[in-house]
Amino acid sequence: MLAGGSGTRVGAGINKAFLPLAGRSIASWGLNTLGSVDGVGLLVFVVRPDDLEHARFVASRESAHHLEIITGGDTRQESELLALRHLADRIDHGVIDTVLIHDAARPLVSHGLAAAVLHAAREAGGAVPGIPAEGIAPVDGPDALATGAFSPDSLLRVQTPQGFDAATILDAYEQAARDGFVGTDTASCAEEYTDIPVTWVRGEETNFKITYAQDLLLAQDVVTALGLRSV
Amino acid sequence: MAVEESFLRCTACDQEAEHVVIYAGRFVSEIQCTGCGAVTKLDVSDEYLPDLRQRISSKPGRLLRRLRADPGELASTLPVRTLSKPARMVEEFRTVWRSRRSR
Repeated sequence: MLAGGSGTRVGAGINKAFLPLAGRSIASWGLNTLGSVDGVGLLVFVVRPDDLEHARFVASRESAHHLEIITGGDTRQESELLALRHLADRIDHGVIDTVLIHDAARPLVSHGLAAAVLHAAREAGGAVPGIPAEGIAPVDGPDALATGAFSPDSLLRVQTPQGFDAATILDAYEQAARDGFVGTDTASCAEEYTDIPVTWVRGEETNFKITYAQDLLLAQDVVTALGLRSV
Repeated sequence: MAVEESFLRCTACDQEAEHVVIYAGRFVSEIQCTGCGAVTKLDVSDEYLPDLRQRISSKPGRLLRRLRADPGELASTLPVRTLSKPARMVEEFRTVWRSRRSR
């Protein structure tokens, strides 16, 4: 679970991953969901050094599962690499066969989606949730829409958690670090440095990332509508 | 009432800026962008009382879980939190009332 760079800037208040959502932090929602999935053995929570105290609070008060808290790097890619290195011994010994990498700012990932990604990653080697990007069109210059050779069916809005064979993705991240490659997400690094087929799993509209202030209100509405409020 | 500040993207000015988020109990009741000043207020009065009942009914269980997890932490924080609870509840009711009057 990556909370490394979520909503933190110099002089800002708290990382948005630790903003309360219906009584507990945004990050804890995803952690508790992922931790409840069959086959998920341990949770690694990657945070900024400044957020360690918040992370420990989540671990002690808001998580039903044991968390291994580590500090991340300056970039998402570096944080992912550090998380994989943290697991390297257990990956090498075969204790861990698959990893799921999830954004802390996506609190409403469902149990079903996480389980589906884990299953697909074990079957195929890699799995990424996505939603067909309907209703979008490319622009051609500042004022015009592009027309012609564009197939919206071929585009996806990619989400997390993204799942991969653990040994393969660890090797890929080590190679990417040596090359100085920086990808946009786990799948981009897998695509560049591995041959494993990455299958896609139907994502969920409610698995949105808290980016805009209004997303927090939307997440609150979803929690209320689905009766997910914490007890 | 709790107030938090965090960097979020503003729907009004579309800039990343610090936002002040005001909570009434477990509900966000107001968000203000410190960049452009845009304010979003929510009337949480309808949802607040049922949720407060649920918070009260679940309090013993939550305290018990904390006691089992870390008795020292609970013993050190509970007296201060108990003493400050009335004032915090009054402030919470005021926040809910302000959100109601903004209808």
